[in-house]
Amino acid sequence: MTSDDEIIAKLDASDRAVTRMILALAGAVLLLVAIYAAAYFTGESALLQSEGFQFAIAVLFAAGVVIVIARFGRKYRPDAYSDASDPRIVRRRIDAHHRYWRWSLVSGLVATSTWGLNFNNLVRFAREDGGLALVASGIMISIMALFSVLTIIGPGWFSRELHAILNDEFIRDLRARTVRLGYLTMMAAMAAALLTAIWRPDLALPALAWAFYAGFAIPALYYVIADWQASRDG
Amino acid sequence: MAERRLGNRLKEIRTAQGLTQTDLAALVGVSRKTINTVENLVFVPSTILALALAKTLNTTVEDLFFLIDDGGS
Repeated sequence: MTSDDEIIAKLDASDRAVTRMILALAGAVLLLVAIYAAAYFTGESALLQSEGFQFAIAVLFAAGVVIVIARFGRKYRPDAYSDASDPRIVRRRIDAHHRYWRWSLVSGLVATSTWGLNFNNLVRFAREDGGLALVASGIMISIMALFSVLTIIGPGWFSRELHAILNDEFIRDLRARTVRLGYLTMMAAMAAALLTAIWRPDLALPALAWAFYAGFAIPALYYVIADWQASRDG
Repeated sequence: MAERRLGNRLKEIRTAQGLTQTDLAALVGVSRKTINTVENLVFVPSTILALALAKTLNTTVEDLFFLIDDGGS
């Protein structure tokens, strides 16, 4: 085994450990939600408010975190990450980087969707408080624009060399298709926002914010699905 | 005019040489997805990539790629 193979094996093992830690912690959170939901729906909600119950849950959760870290922490190798961004290593771990990027986009989609789909509140702000609507829409538009730019640029944006490696031929083609779809979506959404502004000027800001959300979310979803399909064996 | 698509024998030649998609991707310097989508006729590679694939697999571009006529006049 060459030293490069060893570094790659360490990085892969470390990444698997981190993924398992995240999954275990997410599972613990889901279990907590299930316990709370079960107590709520069985009419035991008084139990949820008791100090003893909350203390027991906190202790169980803390013990779970310690067990997860003890179980998977040994495989986590921060020393291996010092070589992780070396172009030689990145070239051989290109699929792992694409996987991170896909999951980053999925996380971005989930995060922005919690806001983007909360359209009713923006409409309410626009009706009740113009200043608040301006701030909320402005923040939302800025965040959506930032996510759109990141999607267009792609992974490895901080380094010309890494960018060239990570955006190989198929990914460049996929990104070009995503940008084309993004442009069409944005134009359609902007036209809809303009019509909304003519028809209901008070809703112009929420409509503009929603147009930016659609301009990011639809092409990002397309990219994630197409990228996932491409990684499956035909 | 007949519709033309690009066919290839990439999978056949790759497996004959005992290479996985990941191995070939590493040798050519692209992602496994690029190899996978070329094999599945989803993605048409550039001339540079076609030449690089042929060189890596010790064959010619003509052996690796061919045109498929989908009929028509």
